[in-house]
Amino acid sequence: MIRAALLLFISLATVSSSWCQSDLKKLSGSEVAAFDSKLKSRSDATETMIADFRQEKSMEMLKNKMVSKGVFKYKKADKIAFLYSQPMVYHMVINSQKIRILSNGKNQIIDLKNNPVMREVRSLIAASFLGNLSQVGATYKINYFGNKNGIVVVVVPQSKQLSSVITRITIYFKGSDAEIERLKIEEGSGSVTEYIFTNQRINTDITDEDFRIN
Amino acid sequence: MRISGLISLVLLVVSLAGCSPLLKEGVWLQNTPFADGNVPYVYDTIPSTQIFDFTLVFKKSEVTGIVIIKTAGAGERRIVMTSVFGMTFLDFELKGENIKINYCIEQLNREKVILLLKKDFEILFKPDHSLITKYLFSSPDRLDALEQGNGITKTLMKFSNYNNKWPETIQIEHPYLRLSLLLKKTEYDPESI
Repeated sequence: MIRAALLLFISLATVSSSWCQSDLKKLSGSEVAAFDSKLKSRSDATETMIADFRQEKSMEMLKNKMVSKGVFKYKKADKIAFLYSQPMVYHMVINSQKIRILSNGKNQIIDLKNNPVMREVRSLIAASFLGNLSQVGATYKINYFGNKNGIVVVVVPQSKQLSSVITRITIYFKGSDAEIERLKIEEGSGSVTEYIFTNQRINTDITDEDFRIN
Repeated sequence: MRISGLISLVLLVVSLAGCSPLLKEGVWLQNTPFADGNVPYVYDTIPSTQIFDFTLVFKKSEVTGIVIIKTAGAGERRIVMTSVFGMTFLDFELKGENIKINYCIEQLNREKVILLLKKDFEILFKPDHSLITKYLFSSPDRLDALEQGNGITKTLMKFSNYNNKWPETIQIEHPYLRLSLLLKKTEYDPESI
């Protein structure tokens, strides 16, 4: 219990300055319900989203973070694309049950049925945008925290298979409008990868072509 | 009869695989100027961190990602293979002949796979790892390819796109296993990490 509390403290203490303050408090049941409602309202009003993203991977063996950048696209209800442009071109497009990966100019199609980890990451991202985080099921333990800067949702996988790969996912929602600011994935390997979303544009014109698999 | 026939066929394939050279134009170690040692290295021994894009192909399946190699000394390295999206597949350390696995995803966690990867990286870091090696040089100090080992795990390595003494493209092949690993110097700036 103490170890879990310590891990949670470390997890919450290593994020950006706006979240570093120690005034994060666990939300009460009514506060969680209010947040869920706000997330749902935002989701109802969101058909598409485009944002710039910055990926930062921290590893014990590296002095600094490995940084990649690109454009993130989301289209309701289950289309997600991470289009990396720096330092290399790499696309990861998730559409329903398939993933298309563009790497070295070649496309590869993967079935999510065969990739439980990506399937769960897809589910959590979609749930965050769809506003139904509380309904992701008994496979996760979810805790909500908040301060004046926004809400932090800490998701801990309960299944042995997933928790050996991902130990914790933390989602940071900014301010009063429940906008996703960052997603932090802590791995079984000890590495931490953060995805920071900026310049978010909602309901811009995104065609299905952006999420084409074949 | 059927089973014994099949076993004979497998033994024949394995023995043929062991005998047939992959590097036909290569020369055996004892016929090179490096019979007493000092085969040119293809990977820097100076402590540093290098990053490569990797493509691992097994039969028709392909996995791409990034491999980070941290060199602490000639015989001491840490190797981490991750996806571009960030997930770590494998994290291990080589020290002398020993391997220490720090992390491995369940799908890769097979002794034969780990030992094959260990051997591949040992050959990469020390091209005269075994006496049973054929080499192809483009100049006395530049190794273009090598073939090492016998049987089904026979290894062929090709080194190209040399820049400042070191190859930026490394192709490791196990043709009889239909397994290959391509390493290409990445566009990540190693100084920045």
